[in-house]
Amino acid sequence: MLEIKDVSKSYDGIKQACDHVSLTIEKGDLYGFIGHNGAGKTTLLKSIAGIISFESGDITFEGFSIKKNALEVKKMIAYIPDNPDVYESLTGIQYLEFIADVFKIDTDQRAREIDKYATMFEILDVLNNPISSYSHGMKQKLVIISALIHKPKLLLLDEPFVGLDPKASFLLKEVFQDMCKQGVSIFFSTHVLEVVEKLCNKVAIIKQGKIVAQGMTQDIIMNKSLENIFMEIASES
Amino acid sequence: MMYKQLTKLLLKENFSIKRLLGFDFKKSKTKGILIGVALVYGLVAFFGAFGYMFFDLGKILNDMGQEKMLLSFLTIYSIGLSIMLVLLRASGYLFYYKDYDILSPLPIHPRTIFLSKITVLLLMLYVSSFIFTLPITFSYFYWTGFTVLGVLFYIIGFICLPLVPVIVISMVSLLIAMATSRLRHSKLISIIILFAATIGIFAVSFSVNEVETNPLTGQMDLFAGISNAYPPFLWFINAVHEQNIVDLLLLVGTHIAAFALFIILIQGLVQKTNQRGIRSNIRKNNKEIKYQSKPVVQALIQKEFKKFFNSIIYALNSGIGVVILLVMSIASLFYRSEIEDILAQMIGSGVNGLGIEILILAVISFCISMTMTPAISLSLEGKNFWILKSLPIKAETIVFSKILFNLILCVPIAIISIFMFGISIGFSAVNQLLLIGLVIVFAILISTFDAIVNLYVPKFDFVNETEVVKQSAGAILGIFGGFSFIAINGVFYYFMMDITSFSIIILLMIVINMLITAPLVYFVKTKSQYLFNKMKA
Repeated sequence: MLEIKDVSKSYDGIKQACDHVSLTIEKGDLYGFIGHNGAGKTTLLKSIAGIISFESGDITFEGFSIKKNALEVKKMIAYIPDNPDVYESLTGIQYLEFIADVFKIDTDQRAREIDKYATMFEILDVLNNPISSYSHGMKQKLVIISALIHKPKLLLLDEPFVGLDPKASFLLKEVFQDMCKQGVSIFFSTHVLEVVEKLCNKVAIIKQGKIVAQGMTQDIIMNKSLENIFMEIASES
Repeated sequence: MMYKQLTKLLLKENFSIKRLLGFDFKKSKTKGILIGVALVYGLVAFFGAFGYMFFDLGKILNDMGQEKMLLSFLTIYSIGLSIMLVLLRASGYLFYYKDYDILSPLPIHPRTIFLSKITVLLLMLYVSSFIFTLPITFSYFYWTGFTVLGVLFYIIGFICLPLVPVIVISMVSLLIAMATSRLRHSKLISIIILFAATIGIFAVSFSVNEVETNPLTGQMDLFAGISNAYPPFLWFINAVHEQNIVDLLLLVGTHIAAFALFIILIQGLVQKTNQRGIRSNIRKNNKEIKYQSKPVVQALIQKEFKKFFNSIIYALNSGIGVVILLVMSIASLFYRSEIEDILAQMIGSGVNGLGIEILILAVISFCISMTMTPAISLSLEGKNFWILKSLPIKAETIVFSKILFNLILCVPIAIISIFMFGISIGFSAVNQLLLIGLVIVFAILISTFDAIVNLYVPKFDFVNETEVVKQSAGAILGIFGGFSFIAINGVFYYFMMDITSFSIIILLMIVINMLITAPLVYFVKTKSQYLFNKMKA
């Protein structure tokens, strides 16, 4: 279980990028995270992944605090940024091998997992090519595969569908659902409200660093559409 | 109007203080002061050493009535630097510029973009050349006297002189980029070509002439020969030295005309190369994937190797020290009698008589200091830094991997070179072992110091890797920090040389370097995580 308790983060000491944010993501949750540009989605995701520090509050996963036991948390999670910037000097397979080495995945498992996902996302035949030759979508697929091969318990994704072709988007959604059935928690930000509406069992909306709505997707939406809810919240001063 | 605005923007983008240092001076005053001190130290060291050498050479030439020889040095050093800079930068500045996608959709005439780009390239060239040749200029005008006309002719000549080499080298740079891009290991080939060119220039400048009181005197005949062979050099020298208006007009006329023609003719090519982009040879690689698990440190070091050989500027800048060392040690086997004089030329005047072992040690230490990957490799993670930060790897493991990578680069070559120098010079096995011990400890010291430098002054925000490798605070502090440690060892040796034997001094130096290294290693172990957490990714 991921617990975000009263987390605040400011980059300049004046404006709060995250303002006393509290959220709980249970085992098996497929949690959508929405908000306008600059609302604080990426800041919160990076804070959970231990990429940036935060001033107050705490984030714990499976009882481990990202502040005090960052390594333990990082062993169990995977993070995918909004822009798939990866080592362009490596080939796709070298990058995946690097990640597999870091997570100490044995050769049998890495071969199996890389083959499975690279075949699924149709990049198996370019894995020997340098990443510098990949398109944005191919890099996104590579980063997604690197996040899946070590079987994380928590998957954090920042706008994961950007740059993916329709087939890959569909497959990724299927992967998400399968993982959640196996007890993996997934927390992702997106601007595609329909995806959240159809896919996620829970949703949180962030506005100017504050969580303004959170809970079961059906409870939030009720008889309206998520788009209407989002627009109503956005127009509130 | 647009030209002025665009040039201003490009200059700011390339050379603003924040861009050069990698941090906002107003927000990090302590860092700024430290960098300021390092810069002042660097400038004083450079102007002190080169200033003294050229002032001394000026005096010798003045006695001989040959002051204009200084202008030969000025022209060749200035053009040599211009060639190196244009060779490395013309491709990225003119033919395949990275902001093409940003600029080309804008309603700006391609000619305006090209003119702005070449203006920035030339300004960078002039500033670098001016700083580099300032000691020669000062020495020349000091010994011949400052005259308004002389200075004016010098300024005009200085502006015109690099124009033709810029044209030629730009085209060479384009040809290298085009030719090597079609080959499978294009970057490696480019690195080898540039290493060969640099070693060639190095070999020429340290010609094996007999060393007299000033090492520069060994270059006089050669430089005079080059000046006589290339008419624009003679025009420049005569224009400044004799205030010869005809030679100045020849220099200005030919160079401005050639450059104007170049700009008119090259515009279309620049537009075309940028539109097409560099065509790398990405042949489909169908070889079977063989999985191999490795320890984390080995995986990190392998990643460092890939990065190193994939960045021409990184490999050239950080690898040139060990390459020179290897070439010199091999050459020492064939030029046994001249080796002491060459080493004396490298280090400077007044070192003859110190003993060949210490000269070799100084050269090896100098080359190790130039291998300073830990001072910049963290910065070079750039926009990929999120990967390391999100992975379950301790910060100190990452830093130690970078240190280890540097040691792998320099220590084996340093040991091989000691053996080869040992064979050519014939010093004892005990001294060889002691030198190896000292070189290993010194390499650990330098690498750890460099890593700490980069932990304090990372520069993740860059467009071109050259900004990190050549201009960042980490690179400057790394290189001058290394020279400082050489100086500390040198001072210790100087005061001990009359007291005890060479072997004992080296043994003591090993102990001293170990004592300096231990707290630095402890610092990396205990503070890396804290400093990592503070870094923005």
